[in-house]
Amino acid sequence: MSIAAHEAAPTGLRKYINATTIGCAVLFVAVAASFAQMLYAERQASPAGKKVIRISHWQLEAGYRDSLDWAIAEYAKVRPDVHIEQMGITERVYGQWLNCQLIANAAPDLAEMGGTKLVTDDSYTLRYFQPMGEIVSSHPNPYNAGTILEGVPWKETFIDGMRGAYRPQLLEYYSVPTTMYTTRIYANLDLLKEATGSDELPKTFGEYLKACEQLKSLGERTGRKIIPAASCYRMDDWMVLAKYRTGFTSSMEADLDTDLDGVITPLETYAGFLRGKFSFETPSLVAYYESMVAMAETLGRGFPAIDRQQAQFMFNQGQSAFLVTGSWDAAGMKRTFDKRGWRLAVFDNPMPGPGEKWGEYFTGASNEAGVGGGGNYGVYKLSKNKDIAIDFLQFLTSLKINEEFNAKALWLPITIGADVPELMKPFMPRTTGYTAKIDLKIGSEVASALTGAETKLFNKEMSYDEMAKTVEAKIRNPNVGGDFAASIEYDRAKTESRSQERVLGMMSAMAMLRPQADTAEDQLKYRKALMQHVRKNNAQEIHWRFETLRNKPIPPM
Amino acid sequence: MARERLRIVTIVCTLWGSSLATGAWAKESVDDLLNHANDQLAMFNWDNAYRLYGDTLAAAEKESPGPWSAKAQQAAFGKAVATSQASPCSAERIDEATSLFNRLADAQLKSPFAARSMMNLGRLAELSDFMDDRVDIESARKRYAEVVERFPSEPIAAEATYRIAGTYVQSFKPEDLNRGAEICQAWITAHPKDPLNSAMWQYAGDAYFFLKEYRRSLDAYMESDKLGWTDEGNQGPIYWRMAVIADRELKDTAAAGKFYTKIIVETPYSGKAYESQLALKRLGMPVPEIQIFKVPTAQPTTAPVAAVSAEGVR
Repeated sequence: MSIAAHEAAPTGLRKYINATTIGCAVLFVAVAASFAQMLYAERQASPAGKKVIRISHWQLEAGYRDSLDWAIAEYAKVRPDVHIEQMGITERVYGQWLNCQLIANAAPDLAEMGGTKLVTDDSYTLRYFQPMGEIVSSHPNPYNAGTILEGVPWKETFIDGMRGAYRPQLLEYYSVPTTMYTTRIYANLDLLKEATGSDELPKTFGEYLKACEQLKSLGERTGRKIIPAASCYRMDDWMVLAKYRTGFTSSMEADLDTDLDGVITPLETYAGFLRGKFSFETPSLVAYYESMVAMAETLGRGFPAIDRQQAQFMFNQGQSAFLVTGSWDAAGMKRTFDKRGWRLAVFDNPMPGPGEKWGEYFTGASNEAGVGGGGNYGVYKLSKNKDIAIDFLQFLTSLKINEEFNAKALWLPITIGADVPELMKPFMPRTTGYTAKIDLKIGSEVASALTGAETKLFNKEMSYDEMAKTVEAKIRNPNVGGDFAASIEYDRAKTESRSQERVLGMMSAMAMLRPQADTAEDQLKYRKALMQHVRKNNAQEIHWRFETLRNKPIPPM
Repeated sequence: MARERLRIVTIVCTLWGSSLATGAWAKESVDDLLNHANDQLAMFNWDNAYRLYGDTLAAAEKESPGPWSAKAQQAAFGKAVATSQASPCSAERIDEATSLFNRLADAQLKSPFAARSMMNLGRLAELSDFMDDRVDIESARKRYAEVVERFPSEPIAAEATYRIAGTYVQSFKPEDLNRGAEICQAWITAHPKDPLNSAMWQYAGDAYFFLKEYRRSLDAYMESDKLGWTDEGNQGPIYWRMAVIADRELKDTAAAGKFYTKIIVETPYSGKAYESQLALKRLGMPVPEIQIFKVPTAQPTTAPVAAVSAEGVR
């Protein structure tokens, strides 16, 4: 007899309870649950009867999203018919993500501008984003009513006058800033006091190095792992090097800035180098590199391998007393320090003082008056609710809201008159100091050799003389050095001039093809673009200056 | 018989109505096409614009055979602009654009696009758009001169003159730099109210600067300053050049002081305000305060549009 013959056949409902029906039931429940969840999420995202605005950004730093949520909630009080959905996308994929959205004609109504060519390149910007010149220049921000900014054109309510949002080639504004960024050094006052006996912040570079020495000694004395300083962006040019290079080399401006525009370009640096106006033996340049080696020493051996997260971790764990980073990291630092009961402070990069080592070669700090706004949002051209998107930007940048929004995120406000939280005051841009500095990144090949050699120098894997020899050989190399850089720059300038010709071509054509839409403002813009273009002389100034310098034509690409 | 007549009348009416309807549709279609083409051109979508202008031109030529109608001229002009600006460019594209512009520039057509077409022919000659496309400055200059000659009282004459000056200045030979500056100044003298005069003065100032004729350069820039800068908001670097020329080369303390002061007051975002303060102190002149980034401030700052420093952008 078979085994089956002994089993009684199931009857009634039991005959349906088997693996197949259970599997189907589970599958059905799962599908139903996912549908329900999807419907719920959709309902949450698009509440019935409300207009939906999506805003995307990559600011995942602590506090920013909460702060934006707060602004959105406040906006809902004045515009209950609008639902704003925040989309925080990690910096690493933001560019690609936005690319996809733009190409699929499904971009968010408001997008933080950056991370992709489709946002930074003028021809794409024009295609995907709404020009806002007219509204920012001619209309006041209605949400500033009752404040000192009432009736002031929107553009002029920003600390930087919206210079950072201006696209000079397009002569237009395609985004609106919501904040401002600068970089400084954060300090753990408790650790500093433990090491130095005082919680007074270093005022000069000498004091800073001394404090770092004391921090090192503290580590050695107590057996704790202490690296005096950490840097989120290593020895980054913008955050560290350029600040000091300005102080050490701005005095060369009179000799090197031949077109008297206040800037020493890489090609002017090259010309000065060939003419013997400076060399790697020039005392101020030697002093600059010596001081930067000393600065790198405070970051500990192997600092080039430390990334942003590791640097923050070291600072938050009390392993470093100083952290070099930007204003955008303040909220995260403060939250951690508050939790640990430590005191947090911020100070400007200390500069060599009079009488200190290198002080005699140092002219002064670098100037930050040209700093533009940040956190710029553009309005998607195909948005169905462009007017609401712009209205929300007006709300976000109105005096009271921008003040509170940035205060909650611990960022710098961009609206004139907005109060700056005490901790953030040291981040306010410096209006004193110098701007000109030599730029040894003379073309891509030299820049690459320079960066590599500098990293080795700062990490003590190469001596100054070796670095100088390496970089000088690259600069003088006829195939990849300064001459090559000149030909690249000449080509770039010609291409840029040609691109601007396209803008002029379009503007002059539209003035004829749509004469009814050609306003006095458009004519003014055209004259402006025309003058900029003619003054560039089809890039021939680069050619002329090179010939004068080298007594030969620019080598072909 | 009456029924037969009625039938004929009905047929005629139907045909007439259909013809009217078709005509109206066709007319609307050309307008629509032109509109779409213009939209594409305004967005720099050169290839789409080229295709749409081509369709418009064909439709307009079909609609009104013979010499180009107003719509055909618009389409032809748009097509020529689109094909000449597209990238990458080619000899065929430039030839096509040249042919279209030449036809529009023909005096017999009396096209409103004639002057701009002639200007654009000059631009094509001045630019190098593809491998082996030779820059022909002489031809370009000739084209611009023709514009001035044929349309002396149109606003485009100033632009053509400006471009003529440009054809000289860009050689950077001393005699050409002088010639370029003189052309600008001659235009200004003959047309004292022209809106392009400030730009002309500035360009003359540039030419004299390259010649190291600092007094003439400063004087020319000062005329621009008096008229108001064409590139308003971006005059910071020019003020710096003026101040340094006056201070270092001409030892003209009054002029140096004036322009250092303007940097602090008018273009503080240029980054040179602090150094201007130091210069004023050195010259023993009154030193204004830098009025930016004040927290809080009671008054809005003026908002000049200047190129933002790369360091300011994260």
